[in-house]
Amino acid sequence: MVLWDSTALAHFEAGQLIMMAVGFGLLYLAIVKKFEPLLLLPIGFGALLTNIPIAGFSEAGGLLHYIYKIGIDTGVFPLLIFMGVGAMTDFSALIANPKMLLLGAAAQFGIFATLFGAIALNLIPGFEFTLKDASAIAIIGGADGPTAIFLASRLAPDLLGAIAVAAYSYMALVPIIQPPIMKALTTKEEREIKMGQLRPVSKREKIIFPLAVLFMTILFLPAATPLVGMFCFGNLMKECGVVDRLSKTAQNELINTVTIFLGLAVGSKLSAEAFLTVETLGILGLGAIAFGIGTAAGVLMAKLMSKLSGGSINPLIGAAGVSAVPMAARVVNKVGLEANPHNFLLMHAMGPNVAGVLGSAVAAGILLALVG
Amino acid sequence: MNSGSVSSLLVEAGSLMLIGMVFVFSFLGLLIVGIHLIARFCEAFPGEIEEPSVNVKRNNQAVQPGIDGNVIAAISAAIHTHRHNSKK
Repeated sequence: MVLWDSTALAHFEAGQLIMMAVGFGLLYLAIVKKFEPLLLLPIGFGALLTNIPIAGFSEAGGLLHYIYKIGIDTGVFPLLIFMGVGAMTDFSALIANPKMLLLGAAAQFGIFATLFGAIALNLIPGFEFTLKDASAIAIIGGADGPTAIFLASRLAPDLLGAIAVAAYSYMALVPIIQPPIMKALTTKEEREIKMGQLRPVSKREKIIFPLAVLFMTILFLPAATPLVGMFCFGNLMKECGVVDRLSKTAQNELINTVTIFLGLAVGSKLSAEAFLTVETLGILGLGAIAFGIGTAAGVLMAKLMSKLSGGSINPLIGAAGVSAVPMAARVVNKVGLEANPHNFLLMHAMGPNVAGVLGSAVAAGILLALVG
Repeated sequence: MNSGSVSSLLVEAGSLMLIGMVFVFSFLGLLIVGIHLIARFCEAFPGEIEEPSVNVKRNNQAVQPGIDGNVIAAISAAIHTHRHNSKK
């Protein structure tokens, strides 16, 4: 009898079994479908581990409990990832064509519209989102994993698992979600527009740029400096050219190590009592809407800019304004090639794409400052 | 949640949306100005640190002052033909 009591079989609850199935589902998406495998694999495995009865991975004394406490509760992991992303980001397409920042700004409408939508869901019985919850959910529309996790860990730790899973799943689904919206909002002629070649950007401009961004953030939005500061630090390491060793570590070894632990820690939040709620359904639904609205806002802004500039901007590139680097830019390139097989928009789409990363970090800073 | 508190939350969310979008646009708009300024600055002072060192190297190694470029070209051509002929 004692032996029976020490097996998991005697202690399984229905919720745990369902969550293990969710974990397996994430592993399936990662391994077979290759959806964001770098994150969904550790998240899926973390979900398996945390739902093992008796083992207590996520209770005080358990491994995942400590990883979560150290890395996510403190906000350290997403910030380290952001530093690595900064060290991998090349801003030259944006510096060559700074107007693209407007597209990155427009696409953030997805975030704020979703905030409104999440509060409106409260009218349906069963949903009780506070303004903090709604802000954390809305940031899914920023299409930026580390930003979403950082904000959720600050504003709504209880919803973190669902928010992270929604953010990464939809980022993987960008090639499916975006093209129909892009095609619906543009005409074939607009999709065929070719864009002029970008000017070369000097090394010095690339070095000054992260410092300028940081300086502006310090002045106007100190709440965003954890995110923007780490991002600019990573980017400066890459561009200055004197600390190649540090830059390589930030964009390879360090970000990989942190990704493993970040994924496991997020997975540990996928426990039955936290995830199997009607709110999770709401979060998944709102996340998809956030992505859609962000894409649409970006495309419409690009259309407006195209009209004003006399047709020298292809409206498709607006869709890349929802960060999700570099997937969104690749999708733009692909849709552009479908309309005109000689039209390569990848470099032009990288501008709004990296602008979107800055835009969502700024939006996160605003939410932290006003709601947090 | 009763509808009264929801509607007050909705008002708050709406104002957040307005403030947020205005702020994001003005922040990134200001950054556009910033990038233009950086570009102008870099045009006005184009890499004065890098170029002199390159020139110094060239002066020391490749072209010594006092020797005409044409002379060097002629000598190189002569050496080339000589080698070519001696191979046969």
